[in-house]
Amino acid sequence: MPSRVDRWRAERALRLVAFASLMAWIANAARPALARVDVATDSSLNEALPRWTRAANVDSVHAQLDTVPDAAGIAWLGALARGGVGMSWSGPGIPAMALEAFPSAEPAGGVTVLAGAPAASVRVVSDALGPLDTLVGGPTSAVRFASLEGGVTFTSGIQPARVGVAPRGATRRVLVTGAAGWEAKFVVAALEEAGWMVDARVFISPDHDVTQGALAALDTARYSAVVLLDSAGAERARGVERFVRDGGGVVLAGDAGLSPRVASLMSWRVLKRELAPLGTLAGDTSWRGLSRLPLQPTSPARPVVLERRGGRATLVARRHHGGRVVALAYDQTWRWRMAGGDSSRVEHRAWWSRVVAGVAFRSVASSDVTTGAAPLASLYAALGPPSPSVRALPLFLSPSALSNALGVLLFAALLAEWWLRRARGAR
Amino acid sequence: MWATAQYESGDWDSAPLVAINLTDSVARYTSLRVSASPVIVSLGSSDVLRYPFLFLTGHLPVRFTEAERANVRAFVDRGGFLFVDDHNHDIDGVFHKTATEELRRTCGAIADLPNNHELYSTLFRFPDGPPTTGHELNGWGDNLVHKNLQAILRNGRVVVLYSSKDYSSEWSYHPENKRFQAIDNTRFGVNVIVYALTR
Repeated sequence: MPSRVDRWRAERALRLVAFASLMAWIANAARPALARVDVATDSSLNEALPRWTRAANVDSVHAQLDTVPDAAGIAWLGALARGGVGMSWSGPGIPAMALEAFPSAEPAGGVTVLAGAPAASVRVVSDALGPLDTLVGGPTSAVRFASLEGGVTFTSGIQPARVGVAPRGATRRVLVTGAAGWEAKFVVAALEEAGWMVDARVFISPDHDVTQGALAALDTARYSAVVLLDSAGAERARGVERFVRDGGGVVLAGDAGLSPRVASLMSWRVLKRELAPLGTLAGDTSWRGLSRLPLQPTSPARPVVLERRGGRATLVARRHHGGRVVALAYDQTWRWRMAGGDSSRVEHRAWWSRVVAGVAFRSVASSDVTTGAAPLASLYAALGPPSPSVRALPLFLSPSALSNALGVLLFAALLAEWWLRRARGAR
Repeated sequence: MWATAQYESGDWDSAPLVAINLTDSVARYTSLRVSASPVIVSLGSSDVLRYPFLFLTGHLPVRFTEAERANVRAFVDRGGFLFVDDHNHDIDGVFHKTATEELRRTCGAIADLPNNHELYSTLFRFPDGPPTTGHELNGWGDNLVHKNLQAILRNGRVVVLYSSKDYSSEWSYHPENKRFQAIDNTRFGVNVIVYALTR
């Protein structure tokens, strides 16, 4: 039988338990913020959004994501955040990615897709009919498709990005001008074979030129781009600077950049002509012919260097007001076409068409199609930076369950302490 | 800029002065950059593709080898211009029959070129079509005047020009002797070269 001392010790212990339970119960009741965090994951977000919108007792919500919600979901989350709901999100596994698709200005049409995502992920470009290409190599890729059905979907891991393709604006004629020679002849031929409508003016002598098409003043109403094949073409062209200001495109080939008339369009210098080493094949695309005049970017308005050969810039581009200017170092591309391999004619044609399409003026076609997407950036824009992940509390640790358990413990301790006191005869 | 075609059959070098004479005329009337020394290129060699304008002449039957045929086909497909002249100046002579047949087999159908074609007005104007040569009017006394040149066209452009008018004889003299002429008879040759360069 326990002694009186043992009973007295048990009573004290039960009083301590009761007091601790009371303190814990009070502390649990005094933590409202923690008690009201509602956590949703990808799978439960669609159910959680209406609940978060209607609920009066939710002060703070947390979206724990593996993929970025669709545009409507992001907008809804953003609206909740701006409406005063304590919104936080986390998504450590969501890849940073971007996607853009735009129609080519080339007469043959086509769509260029620019996609960026972590190189380590599996990256697939698809259209409405299924997968089109898997991207490999560096984190960014530019892929050209002859045609696409519906919009473009780019997937990095399990995260998709979707965009539409805006309708193509009207493409106008191209003017080619320069000294008569094989380069002029074959550039015109290449562009025409690619489907461009070409006007041409080539100079045979100081007082004689040969024209093709109904030549008109340089104007974006008639021309998309002008190709100045050499300094003779640049020297005699009129209104090039205004044409570019208005959105037109200019291609400066070979020594065209030596003409003072186009100096205001350039942020580079044309260097001395380099001849290909003896034995170089005409089909060698590092030369695209057998000579070139490298380009030296100048500060401060440095151009974008699109191509380098032998450490020298051979293809550079820049914007000039509303238009674009591109310069090529090559002045004998006809040799590539004539004396290259069996496919050189097709390659020469495609290359010139792409160069012209890169600068060609396009009338703006009105469209509400979204042509660019960056899902993770959209989430940042709507909700701000992420916060650390929040775990939903186990059921037995929820505020109400904890409160009940502490209440039962308090009552039981007090009851036991009362029984012990009665048992020893105290009141 | 251009070259004389050397082929296996026939006498390809029957008019050696034409090249230098035409080069002189191109330099005289235009500001085109030309090489002072004439170039001869074998039709059987892929080097033909380095010269987008080829001049081919001769008296004897023409029959291309397989390599020559393949090169001529590639040359024309890629945009080259082949100027063929019958050095015989006759009708249905051996060169004419064999050369036109070979061209038809290699490059496609050959047909008369209208005398108002832009070839006749590219630089100098020839309102009556191809200029008559001295051999057509006297010389050998045949008075055979070929009214048209013939051509093979691709996409509306002449890629093979065929002449029975014997320009090979007409232009085969030293350029210095142009000073004895009232009108330079190589001007039509300049037109052909300018056309090839600009169309």
